[in-house]
Amino acid sequence: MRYRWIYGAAAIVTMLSIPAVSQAQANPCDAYSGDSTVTTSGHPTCSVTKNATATIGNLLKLAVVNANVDLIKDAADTIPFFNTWTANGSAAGTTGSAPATVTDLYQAPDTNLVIAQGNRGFVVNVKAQDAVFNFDVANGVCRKPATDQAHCTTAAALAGKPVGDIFFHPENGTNGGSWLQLTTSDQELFSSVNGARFTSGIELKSAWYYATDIAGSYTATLVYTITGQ
Amino acid sequence: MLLRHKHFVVLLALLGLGGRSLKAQTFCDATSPAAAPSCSRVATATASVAQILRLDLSTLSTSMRPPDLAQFDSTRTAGSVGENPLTTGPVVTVKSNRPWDLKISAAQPSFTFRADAVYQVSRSTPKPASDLAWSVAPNSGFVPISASTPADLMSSPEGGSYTQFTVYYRTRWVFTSDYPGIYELKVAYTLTGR
Repeated sequence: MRYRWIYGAAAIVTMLSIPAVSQAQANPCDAYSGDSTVTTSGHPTCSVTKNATATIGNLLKLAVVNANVDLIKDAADTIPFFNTWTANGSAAGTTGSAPATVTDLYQAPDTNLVIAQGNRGFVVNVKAQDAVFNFDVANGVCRKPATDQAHCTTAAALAGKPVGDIFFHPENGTNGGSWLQLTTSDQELFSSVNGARFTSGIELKSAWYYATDIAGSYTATLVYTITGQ
Repeated sequence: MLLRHKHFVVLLALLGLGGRSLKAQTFCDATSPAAAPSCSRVATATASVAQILRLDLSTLSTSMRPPDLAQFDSTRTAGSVGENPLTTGPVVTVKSNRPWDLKISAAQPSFTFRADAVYQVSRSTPKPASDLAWSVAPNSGFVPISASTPADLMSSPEGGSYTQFTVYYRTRWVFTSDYPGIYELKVAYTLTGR
């Protein structure tokens, strides 16, 4: 009996609430505040303005594809040495100094592929991480900065191979086709004033000297840097 | 069966982690500082250089200049090796990226001899190799070649080099023993790294 009263009361409450719902549907923009417009003449229309917002930060991305390249295709190849001899005008030349005709130097078979993307101006530079190649001694012979030099006399211990023996040239670059000598200071490869996506292969040539470039594995680390401007 | 599944899942997990850690990231994002954001990627340029010791001879066969009448006259004897007939030998090229020594010697103690087809007189004693003298200058420094003791022709004691020079020969001819025919001597050039 008591439940019957409760159901009856619930039914009355439900019936009383129906007109209120109908009133809200007649003016759909009432649910919004601020940027809403209601037109009541003719066909009622409701317009609501909403902002679509995105927050964009500085987008500067640098990628180096094919980052590990061989400067010499064949370890036993004498052409890199002979080309250096030629580039120095058929003379010995000096390691670390630019030969007379850099274009005669041996060119690495592969290139670093540098990709820069930015939504603002940027510049991409390259430099050598260290002043000399890392030298992985092959037969315990004497060349810095190899650690195995205990048996080497001072005279026999050759100085490290300078990274200035590497010359670079971006295929699509700022310097107009010149071959530039690698140093430990940043040098510009290419830049963009307003932002862009830019791709360039970086060609490498290297000089090899009979007098000092003894057998072993030589590695230079190149640092590519993108900087917003 | 359950155990096998567990092993498979562990293997997959290891492969996934390993692959992630081994794969080098090719790109970087520059996010700071706001005024001039910057980031860097490194690349390596590697060269493996082998021992280079190369000896080139421009020719493997040199025709010795035959003696002319004045040089091969019974009334005349060469006053010195330098008066014997001069032959320009091979151009020798050495390419090396380590110190080296180049020696010259006769590969045999005497010349081989083939008698003239018409005259057909054989020698009683072989013509000694030392009748051929060598030098790196056309007019001086000639040294009789030896089959037993290789001589120092050129060296680069301090390091590798690209070296090119011409070897000259002067050959002694003796009227009483050097009968008509063809004389041949093998000369050995030996390049050794230090």
